[in-house]
Amino acid sequence: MSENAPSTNGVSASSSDATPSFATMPDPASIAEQTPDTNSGARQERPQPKQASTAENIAEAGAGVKLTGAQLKQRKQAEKAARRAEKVTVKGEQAQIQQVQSSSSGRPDVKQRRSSQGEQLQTPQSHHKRKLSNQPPEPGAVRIPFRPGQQPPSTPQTQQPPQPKHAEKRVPLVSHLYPSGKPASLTTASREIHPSVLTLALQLRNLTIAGSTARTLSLLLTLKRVIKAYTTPPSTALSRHLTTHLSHQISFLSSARPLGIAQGNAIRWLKKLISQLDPDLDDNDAKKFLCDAVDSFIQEKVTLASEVIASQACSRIEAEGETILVFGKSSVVEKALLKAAKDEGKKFRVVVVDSRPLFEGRNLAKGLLRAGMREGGDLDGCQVVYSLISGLADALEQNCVTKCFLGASGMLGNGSLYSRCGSAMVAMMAKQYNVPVIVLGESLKFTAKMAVDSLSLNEVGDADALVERDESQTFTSDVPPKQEDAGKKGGGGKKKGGDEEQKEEDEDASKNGLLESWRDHPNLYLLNLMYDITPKDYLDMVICELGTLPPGAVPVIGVHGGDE
Amino acid sequence: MGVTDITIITPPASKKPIEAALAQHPDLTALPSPKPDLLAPADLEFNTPTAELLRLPEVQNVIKSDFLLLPCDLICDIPGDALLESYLISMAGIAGTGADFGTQSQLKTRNQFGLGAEGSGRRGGLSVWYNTVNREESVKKEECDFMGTVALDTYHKAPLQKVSELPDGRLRKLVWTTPMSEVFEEAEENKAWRIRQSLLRRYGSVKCMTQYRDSHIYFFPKWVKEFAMQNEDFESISEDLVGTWAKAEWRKPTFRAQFGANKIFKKASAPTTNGTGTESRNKNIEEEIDLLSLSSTQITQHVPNATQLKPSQPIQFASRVQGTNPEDSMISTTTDESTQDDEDGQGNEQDSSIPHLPPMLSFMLSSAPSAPLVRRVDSTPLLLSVSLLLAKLPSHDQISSTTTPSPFSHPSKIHPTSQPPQQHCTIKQSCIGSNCTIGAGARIQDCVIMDGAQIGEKAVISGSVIGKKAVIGKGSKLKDCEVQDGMVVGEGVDVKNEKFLVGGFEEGDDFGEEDDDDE
Repeated sequence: MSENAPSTNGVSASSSDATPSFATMPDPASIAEQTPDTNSGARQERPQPKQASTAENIAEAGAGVKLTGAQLKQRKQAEKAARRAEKVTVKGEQAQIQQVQSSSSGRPDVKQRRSSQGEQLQTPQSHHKRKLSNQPPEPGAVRIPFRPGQQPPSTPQTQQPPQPKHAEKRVPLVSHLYPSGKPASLTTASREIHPSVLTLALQLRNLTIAGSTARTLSLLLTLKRVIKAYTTPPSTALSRHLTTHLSHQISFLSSARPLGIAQGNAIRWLKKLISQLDPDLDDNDAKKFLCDAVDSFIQEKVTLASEVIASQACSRIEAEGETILVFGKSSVVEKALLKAAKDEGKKFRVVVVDSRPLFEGRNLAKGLLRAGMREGGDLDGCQVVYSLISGLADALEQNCVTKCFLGASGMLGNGSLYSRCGSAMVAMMAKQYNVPVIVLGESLKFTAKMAVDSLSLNEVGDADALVERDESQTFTSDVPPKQEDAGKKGGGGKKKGGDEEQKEEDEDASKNGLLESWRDHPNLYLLNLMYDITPKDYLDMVICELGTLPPGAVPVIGVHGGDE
Repeated sequence: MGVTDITIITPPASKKPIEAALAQHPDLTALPSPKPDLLAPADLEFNTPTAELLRLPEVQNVIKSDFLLLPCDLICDIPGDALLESYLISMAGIAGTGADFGTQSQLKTRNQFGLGAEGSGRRGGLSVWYNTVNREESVKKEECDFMGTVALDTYHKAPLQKVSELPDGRLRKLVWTTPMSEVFEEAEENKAWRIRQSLLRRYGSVKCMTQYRDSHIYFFPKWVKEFAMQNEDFESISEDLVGTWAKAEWRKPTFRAQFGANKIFKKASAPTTNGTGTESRNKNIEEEIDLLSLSSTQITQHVPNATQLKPSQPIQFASRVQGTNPEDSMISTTTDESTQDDEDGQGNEQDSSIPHLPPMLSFMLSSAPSAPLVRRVDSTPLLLSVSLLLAKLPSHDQISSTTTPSPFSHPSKIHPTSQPPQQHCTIKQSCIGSNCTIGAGARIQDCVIMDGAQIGEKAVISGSVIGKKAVIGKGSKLKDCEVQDGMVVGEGVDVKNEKFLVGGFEEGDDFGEEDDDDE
């Protein structure tokens, strides 16, 4: 290559003089010289600069150390020039092609310019047809039909590469909520991910650990372990490097499941703490300080806070005759109920409302029963009623509910409650029956974020969770088990008709395996939103460790970590 | 990926060849890091029992965290990370509390087994089981293990478990395992096969499998190291260690106590004093928070829960102590019943204090023929059938570049260095090693012929395994035979179902266990 390149430049001569070992190396300066030539006329030579640059890269990798600073600078400049020249060439080519195309299709080439490099072979006509017709461009990504005249936001650049047939099917309306990138797994973990972070990520992904408080605590405890195992690399300061080190771990965790509001607050607090560390502090001391700080943070913001909230909530429960409606499972709500029943000996009835697909309320109900809220149990006198959300109205009416306790995933800046999907319905229904709705949540869960609808701020769960499969009981057979496993219950999503029968599910064998194959139906989507938002009009009070407030006063408390 | 160290444990005798192979063989040197370490404990011999292996001081030193134990004769088509993932999700300590990855100062103050989440019933083990019958590589009279399994508890069942990449199969709790041969023996002796009532009392529905086999893929928490150490009479890991462990859950508390549950798990609370003030507080905060109970997908564990269970348990013991009921003598335990009963009488109050062993899970591969291949190749017929099965896989040059070939497939069907066989040979469905000489007119069918073997002219061999550098004489007829390395079979021999072995040498035990420290 370098022999071909005309080395007319004095600079190139000097560089080869200085390092005789590079005598055969292609000279960058000469490429810079060469490329304008190719641009001006000889287009058949266009691939040349590319080859030259790769050859150069190889040479550089081989003995790049020997170059002096000045030479490096020169080379960089030359490279830049080469790149620019290359671009110009490509553009020139494109323009020519476009001209040819436009002349053949008889269109003004103003419109053509907008099309990107990748699309250049496609004629604009076909493009427009595609937009107007409601057909999905490919099975993977279906777009909403655009209003006529509206400039489509999806310019050709955003067109995705064709995906395999069974790729993620996404509901277009909430496409922004889907996680980008691969979900966390052992194979996606990089080398620097701490083993306990790896474990936690998998457990978060598979919802072994769910619920805002549990997630936040597990995150903090894990990060504490990471900090303990951390050693500052030489020539960096702990306060600077540790944050980036933690960021890697956290981003891996968030690829397993998007971080919740409380988790975000805790991370922000920790990072701020690290960045404010005294740089003169010894590493071991700093680590010890951080671990202690995490411990006291947990104690102050979670353990003791939930204790305070529980006793506050307790004081709102009358000694006799109350019926309390709860939804799903919230650790604080459970704590409050148990405290009222156990420590204060109050007699009340708990109506646990539950919904698919996680059936967290079932866990709460079982937990309460195990604690003794049943006949002959330790907490005899307390009753537990279990109902699915579809029977909510009946549950409210028949049980004469007097209060409604809701757990929180977050309290938003406008006083709305961000909690497990279904909470809003429960709160509204309770309001309908004039039942006071009380939210229990640590101030760690308060955020300045605002949302008026559940679509802007939410999390998309695994759609397959909505397809319910029953484990077949036989598994030694010659039939492939997949056919047996086909779900007995194929009820549609949230709309599935459940009965308010206590602790009973209706077996709906008639819809055998309807949703199993949802990915094969082009127009069938499953959407499993994890959270919803309850406007503050439906909430009566929020109990946090700092006191009892009306929901509108949430921003007054001040947001933890100050995420304005 | 989650595995930090790989150790190959081998007897000193075979250390050299393995070392050489690791350094030279292109397939082995190309393995991704971490590079395996070779460990040759001095006391290890080819017929050391497997549980004894865990007690060797060298091996004990290697085990620093939860670990993964693999046999040397395993062929497994399941990606290991899928299994590891499911172990981490279902069994590992919550938020990685089980992994011991502290700095040195921390290790000293922290107790050896603490923070393990064993109290919440996690950090148990995972074993992998496969179906032996009705598969392409199945052979007659294959060794099987008896297994009894029950459904998983909720706290081991992640709500999204089905989404994991595991192949078809079930994850269930293992409650009983013993080799089938022992089951038959006992049935022979007693004219019946008896089941302990306490098992049925504890679990309403136990699935028993008789044609599955333990693949000896074990995911063990770190405390198993101590468990093996405490119980000197454990011989094999699969029969004794796992067998005892599986039973420990439903047997009476003294059973667990006898196998050292106290010593292993009680330690957790003891050494709080030797840490400094802040460190002991650190530990407390991790112990006092029960993440599983806080989690909304789990059922809260209550402290009174434990005491509530207690009243029902002594009743069981009482009935068992009084009656000379047969179920006590049924499973051959290593202790005499009298001492156990004595302990039972007085130990009712202590029972509550004996910690539970976390459960042993089993991943049972689907029994369908389409299930991925997992096999322990520990007998000659299996070696033959598995080799022939693997040879059927399309080789690398037969597969188009787009599809990824099976990890077991050969680079090419015919090795480049192989010599073309002599004239008039018939070779059907066989694996032939390199540098074999096959005489003219030989007929070979369904055979595995290892490197450097010489087959004489007009020999007829079918269904046989011919060892390395063995010589088969002219015109001999072998059917379903086994010829050991270097044996010379004379000319004109006509045998069926015979083994040509030197001095009754048995096929090697699983001497070289591979031992990966995961996490």
